[in-house]
Amino acid sequence: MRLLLVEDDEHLGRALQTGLAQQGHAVDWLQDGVAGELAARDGDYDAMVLDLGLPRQDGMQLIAGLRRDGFAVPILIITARDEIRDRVQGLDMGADDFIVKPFDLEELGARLRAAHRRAVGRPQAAVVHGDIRVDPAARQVTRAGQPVALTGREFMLLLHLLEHRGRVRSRSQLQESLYNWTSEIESNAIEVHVHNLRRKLGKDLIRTVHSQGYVIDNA
Amino acid sequence: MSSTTLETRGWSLRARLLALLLTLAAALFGASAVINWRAHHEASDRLFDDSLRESASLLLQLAEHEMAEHGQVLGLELLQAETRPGPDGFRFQIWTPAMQASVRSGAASQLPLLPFQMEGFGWSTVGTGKWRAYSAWNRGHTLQIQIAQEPTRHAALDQVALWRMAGGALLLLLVAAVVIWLIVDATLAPLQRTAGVVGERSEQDLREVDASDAPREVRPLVDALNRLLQRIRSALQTERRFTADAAHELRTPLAAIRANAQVLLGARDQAERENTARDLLASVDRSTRLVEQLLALARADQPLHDETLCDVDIAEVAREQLAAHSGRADKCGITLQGDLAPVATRADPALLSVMVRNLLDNALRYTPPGGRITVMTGANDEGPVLTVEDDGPGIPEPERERVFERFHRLAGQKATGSGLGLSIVRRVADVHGARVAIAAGPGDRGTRVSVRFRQAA
Repeated sequence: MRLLLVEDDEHLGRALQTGLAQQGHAVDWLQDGVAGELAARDGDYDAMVLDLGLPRQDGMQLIAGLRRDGFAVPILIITARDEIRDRVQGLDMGADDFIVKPFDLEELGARLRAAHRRAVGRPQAAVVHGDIRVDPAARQVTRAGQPVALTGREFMLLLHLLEHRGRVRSRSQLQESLYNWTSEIESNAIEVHVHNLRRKLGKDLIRTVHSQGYVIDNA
Repeated sequence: MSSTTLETRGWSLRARLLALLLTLAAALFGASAVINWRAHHEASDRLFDDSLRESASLLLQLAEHEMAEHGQVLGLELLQAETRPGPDGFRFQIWTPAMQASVRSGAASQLPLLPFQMEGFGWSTVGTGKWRAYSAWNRGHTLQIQIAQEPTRHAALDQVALWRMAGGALLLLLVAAVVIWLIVDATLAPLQRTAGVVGERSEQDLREVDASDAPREVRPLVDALNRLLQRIRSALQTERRFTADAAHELRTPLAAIRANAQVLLGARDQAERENTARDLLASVDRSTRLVEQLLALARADQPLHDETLCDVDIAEVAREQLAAHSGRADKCGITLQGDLAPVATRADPALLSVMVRNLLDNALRYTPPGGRITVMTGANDEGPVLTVEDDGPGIPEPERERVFERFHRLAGQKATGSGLGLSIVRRVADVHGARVAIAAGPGDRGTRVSVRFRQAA
């Protein structure tokens, strides 16, 4: 997933960015509420991880502003405030989930996956397409019951295309979903990943739409 | 009331009231019994005397009659029979002016019962006893009667009366005691109820004590207690808020520690491992510093003790702290300088060091590389002053009071500080009666924090 992290604490922010990257996500990290809001409006994120006590703009204000303008991306709050009042207020304001510091990175990952699943309207954890089954939690892919070994980026690309089944994704859209701002991207990176996916999962899975991008058609 | 009784068991209002009232009642009843008894005694004495006089006058009349008829007094037995049932305990003599005993009762001595010239009542020694005696002349002064009676019977009568009276008094005293006991009990009941209400309170229950039932005399005590409860409540509230804030502030560094540890476990390469380990250490250091600051604040929250106060040279404290921070200043490329004139104030030296350390720490934290920090000590008309100036970003006017609040950080700053530094400075200043003020630094740039101390006594 492409994630936006807004956390003002340097040590925690860096750890979350690295930790979520270890789970295969592309994470952009911002340290204040105003920059966070700009990035959220600008970027194409799958989910947002938000601290409440932020400089320049409080996390609650940020959520309120985004939701008012129809921002639909799932928002997960991480906060030191653990009173029920705060949770209720956060959720009512438009947050999708709430996790209290200190927390477990695995749990954070699971909650993000769940929030994302709800957002794309998929109740079950795994994505199934023909004989291909993708399990985001275990980061496992099977084809006809046989496990297929994918790299992190290949996995993310496959999941992204599956979650946008029937819609053509441009190369830049795919790049954005795979890489954060600080990644150095080879110009033909997406082509390489698509090539590898076709090699491992069959050449008909991903269709190239000339000069537009790639798509996985509905089964 | 001596202080020792207070220390041991205290004195009882009830016991004191009971003792006083019962003693008073006993004294009154006793006095009344004595007065009654004496009145009775006098009345019975008067009766006795009256009957003695009557006997005497009767005997004298008879004797006069005898004298007129026979020239002498005869018929002693007759006389005796006229007056008293038996001769026991009764004597009389009838004398002529020549002190001739004309007649006397059988057992009467030959000597006059009373001095011969005396008239009226007196006491006469008969055998071993004192008898009541009476002597009188007849109208013609031709015969004198002297009469005496043993007082035993009438004393015995008195005794009975005395006992009856004492018994009555004791009974009344008993009734009075019970009534007094009940009255004292009823009077002290509201006091005991109030005491009971306070006594049954749990240590959590700091509500006001209801004084509506308490008598006027107890009100001041209850009111004082309520004021104390109010102060405890507010102190406790501050304490709770502080604990909650502290716990809250510790969550972020703890989250960073946990996250870093997990990232370290999942590190994908050596560089990531090393960076994460460094961040982990930094997070631990930050938590440690936060805890230290919390402890410093907790210590500064205590009232000062006289034994820790001494005359401190503020310049000396500043010099020590400048030396301690010079390494860090060098590393950050900041010029750290002092302009220190010796000036004494009465302070706790440890707390003063904490104050200067926090001021320097804050200045170093927010001054960019190439900046300059100046620490000045000296005195003006009002007293000793310590000033720390920097040419950093400064604190905007509206924020200058809020930065003293606990855990308040300036917006837009990287939150590396504990948010407690200036709270500690303010607190240390407060307990020393010093005042802290924030202004812009020289040339309207940066920050100037000045602490004005009281003149050393």
